[in-house]
Amino acid sequence: MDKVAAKMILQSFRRGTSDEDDPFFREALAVLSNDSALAEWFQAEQEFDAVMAEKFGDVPVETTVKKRLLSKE
Amino acid sequence: MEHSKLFKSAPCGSTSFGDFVEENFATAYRFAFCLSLAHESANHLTESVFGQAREAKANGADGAIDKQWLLAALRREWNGSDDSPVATCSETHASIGAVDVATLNPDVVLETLHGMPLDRRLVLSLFYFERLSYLEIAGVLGLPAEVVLARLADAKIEMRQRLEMRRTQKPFALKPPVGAAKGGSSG
Repeated sequence: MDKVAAKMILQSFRRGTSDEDDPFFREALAVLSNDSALAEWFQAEQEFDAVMAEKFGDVPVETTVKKRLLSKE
Repeated sequence: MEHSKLFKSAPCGSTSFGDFVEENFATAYRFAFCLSLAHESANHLTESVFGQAREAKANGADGAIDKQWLLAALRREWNGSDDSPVATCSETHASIGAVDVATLNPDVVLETLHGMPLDRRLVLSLFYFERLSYLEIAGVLGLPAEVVLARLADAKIEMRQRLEMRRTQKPFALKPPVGAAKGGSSG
């Protein structure tokens, strides 16, 4: 696998999930061990993803509809 | 790549509609909000799709109604045209880092997301809001996994470039909903 392909694949990788056991990602992760610049990029990418997920998690959830749905049960 | 039945959560075939709502409401609402960027529309979308789920379960299609079905139904239900003005992101434009994103108002992040083309917005919202894997996203959107991988990579690059452009602009304040609860713990 070349660097370009590894970079594209690793943008979908999630640490601490079943992705770590996926041979598809393992092959891409292996490319990191031979390329310090790519490894640095990957670390920054993971940090970016974590912050983004946190920002998205701040979306408030309106509960009126939920209560209405449950009241019909 | 095969992407049917990729979700690891148990199918809801044996669960009541109430349990299904409890388990999936926040997920559905956040995704609906991401599609519409309006709480009123998110409410309408969510109520409509849960109504479809209730009907389907009542008609014996219980086993087919799961999280993947719900997200795919929301996507189908959303009829908004992708008419957002699309800013051209220069390839040479600086790309924002995690430290800078952390200082941004969440509303800025959401508004930036909403300014993106629908196909990219969908993959980003499923990846960040719902934390789905690329295979799960492929299942929801009915796309080959390879397409999702490429689209997600492109979308993340565009998002970073747009956020960098927005970083020095005044945040856009979204109107909070009445009686809102934060995050996924609200069911």
